[in-house]
Amino acid sequence: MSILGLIIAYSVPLLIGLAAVTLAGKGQELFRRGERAVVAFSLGLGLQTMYIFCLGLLGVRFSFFSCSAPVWPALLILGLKLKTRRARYSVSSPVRETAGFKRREKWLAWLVILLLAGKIFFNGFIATSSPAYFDDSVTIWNYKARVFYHHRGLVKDPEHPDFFGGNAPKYPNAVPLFKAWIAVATGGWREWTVNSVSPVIYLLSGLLIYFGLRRFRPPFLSLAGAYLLMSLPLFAFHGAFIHVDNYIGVYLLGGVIYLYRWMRERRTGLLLVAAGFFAVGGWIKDEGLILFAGGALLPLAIFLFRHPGSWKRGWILPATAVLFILPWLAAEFVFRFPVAVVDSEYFRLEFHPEAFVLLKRFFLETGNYNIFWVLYPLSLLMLVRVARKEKIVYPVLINLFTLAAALGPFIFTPLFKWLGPGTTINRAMLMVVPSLIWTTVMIWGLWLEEEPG
Amino acid sequence: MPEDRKTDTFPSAPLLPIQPPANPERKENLKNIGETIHPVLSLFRTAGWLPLLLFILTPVAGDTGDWHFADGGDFSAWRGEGIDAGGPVPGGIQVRGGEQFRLFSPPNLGIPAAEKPYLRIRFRPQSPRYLRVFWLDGAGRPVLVPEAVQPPFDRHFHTFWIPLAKGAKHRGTLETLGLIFGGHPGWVEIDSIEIRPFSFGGYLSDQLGELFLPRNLHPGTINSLHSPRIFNQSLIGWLNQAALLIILAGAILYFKSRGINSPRLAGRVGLALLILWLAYDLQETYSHLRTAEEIYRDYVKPPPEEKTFPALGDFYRFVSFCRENLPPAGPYEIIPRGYWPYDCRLNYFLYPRHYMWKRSQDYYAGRTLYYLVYNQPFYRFSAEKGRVVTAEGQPVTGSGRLVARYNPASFIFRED
Repeated sequence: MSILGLIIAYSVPLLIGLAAVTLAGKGQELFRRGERAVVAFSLGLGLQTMYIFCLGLLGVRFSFFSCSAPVWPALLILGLKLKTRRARYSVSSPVRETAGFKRREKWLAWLVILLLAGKIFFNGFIATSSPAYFDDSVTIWNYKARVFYHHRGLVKDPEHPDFFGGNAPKYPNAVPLFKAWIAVATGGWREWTVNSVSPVIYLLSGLLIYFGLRRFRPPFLSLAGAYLLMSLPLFAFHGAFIHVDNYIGVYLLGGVIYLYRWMRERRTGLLLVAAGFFAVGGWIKDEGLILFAGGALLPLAIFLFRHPGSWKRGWILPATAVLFILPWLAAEFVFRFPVAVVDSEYFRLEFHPEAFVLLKRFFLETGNYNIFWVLYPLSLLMLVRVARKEKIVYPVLINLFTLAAALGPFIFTPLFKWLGPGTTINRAMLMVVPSLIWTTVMIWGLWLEEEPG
Repeated sequence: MPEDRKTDTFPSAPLLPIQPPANPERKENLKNIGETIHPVLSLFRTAGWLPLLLFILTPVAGDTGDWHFADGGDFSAWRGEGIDAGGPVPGGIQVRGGEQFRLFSPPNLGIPAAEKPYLRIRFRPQSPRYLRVFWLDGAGRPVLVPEAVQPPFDRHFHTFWIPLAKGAKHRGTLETLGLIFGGHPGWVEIDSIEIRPFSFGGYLSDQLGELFLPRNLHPGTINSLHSPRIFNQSLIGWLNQAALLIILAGAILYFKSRGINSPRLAGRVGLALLILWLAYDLQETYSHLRTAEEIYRDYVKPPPEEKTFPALGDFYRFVSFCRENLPPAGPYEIIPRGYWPYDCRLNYFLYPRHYMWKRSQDYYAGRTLYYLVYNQPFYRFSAEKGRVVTAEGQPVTGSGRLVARYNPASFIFRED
């Protein structure tokens, strides 16, 4: 029964998301078949939980039927689309698609696939056989979900201990509400069902980066990109436990991929999809919104400035993101949640050069990142030669701004004091590294595909 | 737990009497690792054409400079400075001190410095610590060893080889060995201390042992993962250096050779880097497997009454006990307050019962309050006073009654 409930719990956001990307595509097929499902589930999770949140604000009880109601119009949209002639996934001009693996790549590809299968299996096993284990899981993500499920709604009385999920009411609610929905759909609170989200998001991350690369690069390089991300040690470890920093990383990655695709292909649907990824990232954790605003908006503005005609469409990205997250922003305003992520004492500029020594230790001497922090600077050096190709400089700029937004507070504000213990820096990096890996592989691909000189 | 005891001066009285050894199993595992290495090296030894190797494989003679505490090695003649408590425990000895404390070996070891002795020490700090080493020669002059070691704070024993003397610079004899443990106050467990010539086989077996140490799952693991240490550096440190060398070689080829096929060069460099990545990932996947295996062995497989979880012990059994003995809703306190890592976990697993955070105090004012005590021998229920009291008899609750007892140091108390 739980398994059937779990299948339904994951199918509902998938269907909602499929309808949403169908509408966004306006008759054009923007994705490969598998990619479509990945994007649809990612966005559907955000859409469904925002809808459930609105139910909570309106005082509607969380039941199976109330929470899954958007699936009916979604099915209608999908049914109507089936009746019309199916648009073909088009391989438009700037995009080059190549065939399968070369013969000499096959053995390495199989080794990589084997390792990835092992990681997915271990993460699935750990997540579904252990109770919530780490502090943030039991104090925030699972705790709030449990409160929402217990009350079958939001408690809006500020005096009540369960006000807005009890602990950390200021934190956005996408993940707790999705877990509460799983509990509703499976008919009870079971640790293994609600903890299944992390390995699913982990799997999603690999598929998303694979498809995001596959649009522009050959299959082996795309697989290598998926492998680099899914085998990044701390990222893989988080795939088994309930911490959401890696979720933000996945959504930021999705935003960067589809924004870049829009810059290349100029199909408005891609811009809507990118906006959806950025917005759901902000709905998962405040940092998602900060990284979007601090990382993506300026490179987008530069792009729009350099391509004057694109202004007509470019505004859609921030507008859609804000529109999506508006109910949460309104609730924050009405219930007077503090706007800032950290206390006011940290809003002071002060330079901490000693931070670089600590960062070197975290990046190069701990087991969190494999050799990524040697690879990434190398890819930036390699960019010098290919910067003008394929508009690659824009996603790199987004990377650099998001990296600066994530690292800057530790170097230039009193938040430096949290750098030493190392409790937050590595988790903060999980938010930005996925899209860094994507651009690293993209840059590498530009070199590999150059005509021999 | 040994009784607290302070030794402030050097030399001072022996720390504590020594008990017979324990935990021979772990020692056996170490020997097994060594045995897999030594047969290979013994081929060279029997061939007789590598006398140097013969020398370095020969174990140190005599019983001076060799203390295997886990096997009952004599700790009674060691002296301490800045020590709060110490003594034998299963698997070695345990010493507790403040930010810095020192241990001194028995005097008159008489080990010639010209033999370039090494210190091989196997220890486990219970708080983040570093170790510095010094020794006193025959004239009582101290020689500070420049190398400092900082074991990963991962609750594993780690083995270090530290050169005590280097060639002609050091003459005379090593008479007393001194160990300085610095860092955060807390316990340090020592399995063994040896002063011995360098042994390549022994060193290699220790390094392999370090490489395959299972990852410890504990509430801090989510923030950062340790890379195993090998040859006095993290494995990832070595791989990063190797990656830099590959990149440097690629860059030299790129800039020196005119008309080079850059896609091919990029491909080769990329492949070499991918292989380095894979090498680390194989170790990492093995760690992942060990974590899953540990959870299966301790939590999934055992029957409910035997389940434990890494770093939390029988906590989930205590949760079941509380669910059975607490009313379905209502407030409770945990003694001592802020008892991490259990407070936030009890708050989650006992929901909808509420832990009395600051926020819920007004809401639950006047309601019957329950107190949970979990594995805290410092607190007990005093039937005489009808309250929970500290070991010194100071009350920490109002009067009430004992609801249920989980074990001698864990119980539920209801305040009237």
